[in-house]
Amino acid sequence: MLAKRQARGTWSNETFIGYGENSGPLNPDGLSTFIESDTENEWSNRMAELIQELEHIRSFQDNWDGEGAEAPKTDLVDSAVDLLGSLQSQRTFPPPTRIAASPAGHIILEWQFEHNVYLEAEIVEPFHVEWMLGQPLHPTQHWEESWMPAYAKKQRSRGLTLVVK
Amino acid sequence: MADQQDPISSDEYVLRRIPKDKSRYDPSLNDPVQRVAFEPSKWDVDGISVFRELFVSAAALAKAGTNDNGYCVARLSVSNLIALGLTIVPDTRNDQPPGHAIIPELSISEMKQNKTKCKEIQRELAKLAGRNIIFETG
Repeated sequence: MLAKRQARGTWSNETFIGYGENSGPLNPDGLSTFIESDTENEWSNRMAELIQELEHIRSFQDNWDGEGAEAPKTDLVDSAVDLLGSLQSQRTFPPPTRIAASPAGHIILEWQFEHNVYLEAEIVEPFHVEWMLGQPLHPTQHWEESWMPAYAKKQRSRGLTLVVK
Repeated sequence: MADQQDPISSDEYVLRRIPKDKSRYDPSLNDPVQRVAFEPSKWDVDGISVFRELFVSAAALAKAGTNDNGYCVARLSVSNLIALGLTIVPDTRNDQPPGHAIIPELSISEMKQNKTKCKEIQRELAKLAGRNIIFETG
C-alpha cells in the first residue's frame, strides 16, 4: 500500500517514491505511487466529478474571475480530459485533488499529498504539460512532457513520451 | 496621517483578493488556495495587486471586485513577502480601492521570463494565504 487517502484531497506519501528504480513512467527521474486496489475505485468514483469540473471550467469566458483571466482554451480542456484518462489507465497517481484554470487559460491538475508534498501538472499546450513537484527539504522540481493522445495510442504504443526534461 | 504613497513598512499587512471559485479557493482542502490565485493576469503588467490594510478593509475590498461569485480575502504579512524576496510598491490608482500596491516580481513579463521561479513563489504565497483567509463574501 503506497498511496493511502487520509482525508479529502490528501494522500499519504509514507511510501511515496520520488526517485529510483521504482519510479513511474511520467518522469525519468522518477515519480510514482503504487496504488492499492481501492485507489482504482477512487479513480472510478472521482472521474465523473473531475470531468464535470472540467466542463465547468470549459464554460468560463474571458475575465470569468473579474481579475482579467483568459477563457480556458478548448483544446487544453480536451487535453486535460485525455491526460486524466491516461493517468487513470496507468494507475500511476491517485486522482488529482483539484482542477483549476490559470489566468492564462491553462488547465492545472493539482495533487496534495501528506507531509506537504505537492504535485502540479499545468497543461500549457495541447498534449503538453509542465510538471512541478514540491517536497519539503528538496528543491522544487520542474519538467515538461508531451504525451500521445488516446486516439493515437490506439494506433501505436501506449504511454507518455518524454520530450523535454 | 499615513499617505497611500508612503513607503510600505515591514510591520504592515496587505490584503489579496481571491475569486471565490473552487479552482482558486476550496476550504475543504488542506491547502485551500491554489497557486494561480497569485499568478498575474494579462492586466498585471506592473505586477499583481495587493492592498494595504491601513487603507482598506477586507470587506470593502471584496465588495469592490466584479466577480459574480464573490471573493475571499487573504491577509499577508509584509515581512513574510519580503522574506520571499518580494517588494511591495505603493501604486495609488483611481480605478482601484484605497491602498493599492503592486508586487513587481510577479508581473506578466516576469511570469513569461522566469516562470518556474514565479510558480514557486506563487505556491508559497498560496500556502500563506490559505492559513490567513480573513473574509469571505456570503
